[in-house]
Amino acid sequence: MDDDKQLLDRIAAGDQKALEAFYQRHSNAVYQFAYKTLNNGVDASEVLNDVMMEIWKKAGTYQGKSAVKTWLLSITHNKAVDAVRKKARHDGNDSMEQEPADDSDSCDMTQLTMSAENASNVKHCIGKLSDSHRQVVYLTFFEGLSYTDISGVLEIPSGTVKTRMLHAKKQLMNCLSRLFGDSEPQFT
Amino acid sequence: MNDEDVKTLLPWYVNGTLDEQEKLAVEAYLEHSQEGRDEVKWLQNLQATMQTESEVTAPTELGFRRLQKAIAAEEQVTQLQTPSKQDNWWKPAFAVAATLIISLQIGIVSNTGKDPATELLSGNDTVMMSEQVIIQVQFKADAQWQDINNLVNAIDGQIISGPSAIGLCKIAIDKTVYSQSVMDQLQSSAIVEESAVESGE
Repeated sequence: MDDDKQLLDRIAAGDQKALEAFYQRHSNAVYQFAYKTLNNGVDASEVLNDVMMEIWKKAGTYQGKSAVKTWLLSITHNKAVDAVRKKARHDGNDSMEQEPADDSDSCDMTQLTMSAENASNVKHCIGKLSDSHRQVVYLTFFEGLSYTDISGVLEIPSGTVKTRMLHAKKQLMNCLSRLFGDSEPQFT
Repeated sequence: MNDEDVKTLLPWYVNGTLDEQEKLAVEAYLEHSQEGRDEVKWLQNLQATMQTESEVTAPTELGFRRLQKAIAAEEQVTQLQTPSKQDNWWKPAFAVAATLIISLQIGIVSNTGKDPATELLSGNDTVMMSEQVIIQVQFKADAQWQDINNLVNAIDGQIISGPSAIGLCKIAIDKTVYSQSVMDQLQSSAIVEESAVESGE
């Protein structure tokens, strides 16, 4: 099985079979990340198509400075941002720039840990984050990227990655804590 | 590195991507901080929960067919627009001839109705046989292209446009062939999300 670099070399030479293999290998990660940014499937599908078209045209420009996946997610981020801004011009707001509504500290860690085990709570609270915060959380805990790689994908300084994570953590803690307070406590 | 700086590294300690120096700093911090250990446990639960949930499915097969269609369409446009190196009198005639050839190919493919994949790649939304029923079908995101092909052939149909971003295709069926059993076959298919007659019924 060809590795990613070999596939990119073949794609750059016009090999659609290689593109198909690359698409099957990476479309899910691209789609998931786009979906996390845009919060709807139609826009995420458009971004997936745009990203893979970019790969088709620019596979030869990959220089190996970062892992292929990191480079790919960086392209996905840029396409998703373009999509958000295009939509904002129609809707008159830019969700990428939304500030968190609630960032205060006051949580019981035991409750939080139990609340975090509930998948629907986690899904709900992550959905409440701003796009930029949700991206950092997703890239850290779902894609398993380092903060340096996330800095490369999102094209922001490492310090900003850490700051966004700090704010995201606080919001998640508050949200999960409120949800735990609404449900039956569970004891093991 | 002070405790506040170390705390900012906890998410990446949990996902295992810190370098050796950072990892040692975090472990030294955790030895004396119950708060830090509690936070690590919370983050580990968060990560575990996130990784067990895959909420959305990428449209793999349909998505790739759509990409192929887009590539084919761009290449056709590029071929027609590429200027000749010489400013020859036959350049406009060549462009017309190329357009005619491509149009004929689209017409021939559409009339045979044998290869939905090729018709799909032609991107022709407007070729219609007379006396047709047009059905809109939304295929499921994980539908395999071969299964779609088999279904369309089984109902004697022909894909005239799509798939779109949400897996929507338009299928043309000759009126002499169309019946309620065609709709029943589509609606009961495991790869079809929804289907409805658009026109011609």
